[in-house]
Amino acid sequence: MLVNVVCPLLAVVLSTGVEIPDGGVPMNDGGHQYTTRTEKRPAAIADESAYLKWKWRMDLADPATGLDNDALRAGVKKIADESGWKDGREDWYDVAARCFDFLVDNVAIGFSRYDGFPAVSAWDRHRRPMKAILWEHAAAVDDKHSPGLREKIAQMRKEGRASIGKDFDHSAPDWADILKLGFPGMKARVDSYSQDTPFYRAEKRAAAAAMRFLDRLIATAKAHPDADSPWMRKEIASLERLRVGPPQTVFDVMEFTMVYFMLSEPLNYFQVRTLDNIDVRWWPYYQADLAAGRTTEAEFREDFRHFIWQFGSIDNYWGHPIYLGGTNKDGTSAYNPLSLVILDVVEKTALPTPKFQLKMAKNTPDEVWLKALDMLRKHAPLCLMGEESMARSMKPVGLTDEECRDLLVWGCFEYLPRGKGNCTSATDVYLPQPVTEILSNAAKGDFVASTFEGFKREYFRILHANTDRTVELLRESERHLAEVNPALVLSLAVGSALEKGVDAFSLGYKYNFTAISECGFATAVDSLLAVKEFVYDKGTVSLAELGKILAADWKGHEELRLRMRNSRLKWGCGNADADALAKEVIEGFTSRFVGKPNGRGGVFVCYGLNSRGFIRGGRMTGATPDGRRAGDHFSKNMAPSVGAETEGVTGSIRSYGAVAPENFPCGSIYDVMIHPSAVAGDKGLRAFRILAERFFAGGGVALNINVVSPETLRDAQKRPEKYENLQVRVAGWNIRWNDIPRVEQDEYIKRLESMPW
Amino acid sequence: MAVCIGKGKATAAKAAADKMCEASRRMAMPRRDFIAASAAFAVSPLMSAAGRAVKTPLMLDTKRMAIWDGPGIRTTFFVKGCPLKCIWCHNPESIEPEAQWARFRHLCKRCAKCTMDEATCPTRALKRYGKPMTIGEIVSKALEDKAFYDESGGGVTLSGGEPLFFWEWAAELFKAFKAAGLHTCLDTSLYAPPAAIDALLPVTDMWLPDYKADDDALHVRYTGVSNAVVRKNLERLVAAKAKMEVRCLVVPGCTDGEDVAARHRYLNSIGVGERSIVDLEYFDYARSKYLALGMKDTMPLKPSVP
Repeated sequence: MLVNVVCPLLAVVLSTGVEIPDGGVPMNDGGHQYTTRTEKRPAAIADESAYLKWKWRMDLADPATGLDNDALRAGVKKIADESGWKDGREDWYDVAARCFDFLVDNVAIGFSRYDGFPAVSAWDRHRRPMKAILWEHAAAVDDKHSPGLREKIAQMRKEGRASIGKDFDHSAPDWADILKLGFPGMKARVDSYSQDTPFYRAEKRAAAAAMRFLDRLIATAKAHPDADSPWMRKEIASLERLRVGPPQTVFDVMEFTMVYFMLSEPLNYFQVRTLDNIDVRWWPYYQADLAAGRTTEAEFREDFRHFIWQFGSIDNYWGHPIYLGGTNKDGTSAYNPLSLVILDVVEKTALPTPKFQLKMAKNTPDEVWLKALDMLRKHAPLCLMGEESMARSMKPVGLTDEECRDLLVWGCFEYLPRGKGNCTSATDVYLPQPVTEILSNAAKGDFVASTFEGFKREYFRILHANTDRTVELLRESERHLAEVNPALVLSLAVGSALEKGVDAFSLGYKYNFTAISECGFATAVDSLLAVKEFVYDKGTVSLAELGKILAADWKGHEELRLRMRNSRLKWGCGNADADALAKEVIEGFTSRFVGKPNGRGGVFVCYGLNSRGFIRGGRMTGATPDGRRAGDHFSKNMAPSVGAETEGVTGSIRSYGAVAPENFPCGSIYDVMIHPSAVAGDKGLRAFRILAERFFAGGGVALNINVVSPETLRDAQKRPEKYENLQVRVAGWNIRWNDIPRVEQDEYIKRLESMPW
Repeated sequence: MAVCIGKGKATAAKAAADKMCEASRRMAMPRRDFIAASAAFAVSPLMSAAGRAVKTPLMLDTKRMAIWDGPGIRTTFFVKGCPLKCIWCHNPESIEPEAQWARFRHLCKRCAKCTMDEATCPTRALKRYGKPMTIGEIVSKALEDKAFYDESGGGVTLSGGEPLFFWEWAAELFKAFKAAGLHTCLDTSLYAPPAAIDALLPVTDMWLPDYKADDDALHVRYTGVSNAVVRKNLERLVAAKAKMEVRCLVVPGCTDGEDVAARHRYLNSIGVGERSIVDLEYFDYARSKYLALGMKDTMPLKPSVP
């Protein structure tokens, strides 16, 4: 049994290779891998499957070729410490470029006869080399430009109002552009700029470093004892082509993508938040390869299986994003035969990551619908995205029709104008906080309201104040983003950044969005509804009494807590009153900032998703009137609270549609749970499609679907070994059921059992 | 206060029914009051054409996104109350017409003092089966998912229990469904008087009758009633050219083997084509409900697949 093996004598290693201390503390906290799976690192890599699985979970690079991760971290720390940035002698661009040079020239490299892609010693996503200096440097940048800012942000967090962060992770290169250029073309492009600014200097150095990295890869591969093995021969030929020009074959495209990824994420710091619209982008290469006899479908399948295993091995808890499909300029579907081959490989490989987002529209071919829905019934890591709703949600922030047609899907389920936009997103506003503040004041006798309208007014007053303050602090916090972590590799891949001469991630795109996420939306709405029902409509309890009860975390009032928790008046069951209040809350929130200027030349947008913020937010918030205890999770993303979906999936879809998903430019997600019997057989597949189409017709943007029964999950708790491959969607991405902490498994089952099957 | 009954005079029964409505809206209700009020409600003053009170059922759960109860995506409403006692019944909560409490033992924490109130049961182990709903309430609930029916060719299905146990009410409900533009299906044992069939024929788009056993001795043994009435009604539906899908549940050791073939032979002989007959597999998944309801579990064992 692989799950929760807690051995008091041996330190254990997570599926990602992260070692956890004796006693086995689950690593489900602080942005770490969302897993409690413990697996022993193999003593030796004896076959292909072991190699692919462990490639990015342990150091498989050849130590003779360079430094290990600890030495790389120590190296960049030394460069930063000895730099002239602090006393103003050196620009941070120059320091960052020196760090990049050092990493590219010194990272140890590995090859294997089992695989067609390189390995590096900087394999550990929790301990990326640049992470050794970034946060300390971020603090120094804040202190230099905005003294006191960090204390103000900490105060907002301490008071449970908002969590405001800096983001270095939510962007992607202009893949269409860089596939045409290749590494040499990217270098030539940046070299064509003659300005001698810190930005251009750093970018030119980064481009030269990328070429040196290719040289090192080729030399190391050629010297490898297995250089003549089929995989390595293919790999060396591909790397040699990439050294002199753009990718020529579909395998070159995969190789290019992996090398770019290594330069951008492990060696620079992040910024590859999608591997692109691969079926559309790769199709011409694949067609040409087939025509010229350079590959076969079977060979492509094998290459692609290895390609997705790279990300399966990295095992990013959010599911590394790739998207498929779309609509061509002439209105026809962009799906092609390669899309179905890709989906089939994904299904057969059965990994929870990478995650595939599928653009769905009226023109989407039936076979894509059928394949995708059938895969969803088997828990494949797919997310359906409604193209029309995506486009509609982007209109309020000024995108053109053409930009809306070709939106780049990235991250969890977000989207941006391809090659023209980025979006930072590390900030959550906790929507339930004002309710707890009002009730705390009521308990002290500092607040009275004779009507629910009065209560609501106060709620919005505080929510608006929290939101405005967040906007103000976030503006300030992002003003100097490039000075914290210039995205050296990304800027090489974004033409507009080079044109403007500014860092791509900070302000180099046409649209530089900053997202603020709602957090605890359904918890907030249900809390307001509970106050309305139990304080004002029924008079079960007074506001002051309720305030005292919540302050005591319901102690001595369990019956009242259960009544309030089990009330049918919740958001998520299609109740018109609840839906109207929900709309008022979300619009009262988003109207404060959506479309207003941020601190880096763009505007703010709102996300209807919050990654794992619902856990963090819940932990710091006291009991709420919806029956939630202090410290319990908030509701997730835009999903209703556990137990609220009393009218089944159709009711919850109606409720979601009622809050107008167009309030969330760039992305919102709805998690839907469906009992397997509702979508069984051919008839079930047709019903499933109608359900998805209705969701999109109602304005839904991203549909995250779980087809699973509570019975199956209970059985999986009892016999985890039988359900090794069972995946569920937890907070917006797929995860192995066995990797979820027991307490969250229980909550998940509770939600399923509360639905009227 | 909202009136729970579609129409009718202020009779004693109506007063009891109103009391029931009011009580059910309160958070907690003593069990004895609840059962008494429910019983009164079950004979409520919905008036028949002849001016006498007809039986109105209490309702069980509503199942949305139902795809096995007729064409397309449907909402299925379940009535509580059935004249049959099929030993394999997988909805034992639907047999008695009165409201019932169930306590699911695997969830129950055996609190020192049970609240006898669904809303405050800490583990949701307590469930109350049977609640009053007016025809208007049912229709508006059904209409909430109209977009799904329209796109899938679906609609509403009335199931149970036995809807024809309350046939005058069922006919009124179906008239209201039809007036709202909804496709109607009736899931029934057909154990009902001919008048029931006549009343429902004009407002039922598709019939989903069971034919539980061809051998009358088996029918009596396993359902408690003869199949003579069922056969007569099946023939009546065929004569009226009603659209239907006849369901033949195959219960291992009870109604399997030769009886399945005999059922098909009979149905073919009266003019029901093979395409309108579905053999249903038996599952014994409802045991926890028997236990929770304090009823004797009569479900035959489902032999495990080798």
